[in-house]
Amino acid sequence: MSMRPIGDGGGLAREAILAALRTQREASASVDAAARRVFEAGLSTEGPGQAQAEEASRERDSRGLDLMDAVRGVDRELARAESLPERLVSGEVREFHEVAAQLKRADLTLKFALEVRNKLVEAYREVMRMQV
Amino acid sequence: MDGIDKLFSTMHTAASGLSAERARIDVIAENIANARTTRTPEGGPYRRKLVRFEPLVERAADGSSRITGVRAAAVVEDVTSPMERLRVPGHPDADADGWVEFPNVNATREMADLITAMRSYEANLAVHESFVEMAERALAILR
Repeated sequence: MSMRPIGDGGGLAREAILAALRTQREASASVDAAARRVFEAGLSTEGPGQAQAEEASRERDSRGLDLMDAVRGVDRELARAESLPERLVSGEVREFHEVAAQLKRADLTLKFALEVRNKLVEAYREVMRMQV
Repeated sequence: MDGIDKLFSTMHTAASGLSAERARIDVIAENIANARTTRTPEGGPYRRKLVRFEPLVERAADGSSRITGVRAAAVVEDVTSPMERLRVPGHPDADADGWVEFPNVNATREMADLITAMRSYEANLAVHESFVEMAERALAILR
């Protein structure tokens, strides 16, 4: 420890603050990892080779890009739901349940994305609120 | 199957069941509608039709396969049950003695099939609804 010890009480307080910071960092990292895993689902994976390449590039890329990919996945899902009326008119959709299932799917994906986003924002705010 | 599809595989399976049952109901409707059709383009009276279901099999890269649903693979004609022969003199398709061959469609049997198809459709819907409920409950963990 490079810091000059203030006394037994002060030292304990400092330890506690450091431990809290560490815990918070770990929590934020695990939320981030969970979000990434969830949103990997949204990535387009045309072939196993490409999937691996994307995996590798994702490891190197920043967190921002991960979220962009994730948002794209959710966006694709919503676009598919949005194109339902046209597909219905053109005769591509032939069953009632196809419409219902696609809408529900888009709804669930969006809800999931929103919940994860809320968690990320919450974690960020929690860190920002911390007294130093 | 891409990533998000994997999340919704249960939904996909249930939807395939719904489509298959829907196809079965279509064929039952056709049978009931044609219960009195004595002349078809192929010649002879209408023949009762049945749907053959097949599992949807997905093969993974490592050679293993798994079933991901069901599909109505083919509509086949019922060639085992005999045609109904009735004496209706004056019918345009009656033979010299007044006998007419009617389709081998039995209304009672078709209705029974219709009920089972409807119940299977409902069962698949129940799976669908349960899956949605499960997903929503799981999402509630985040709240």
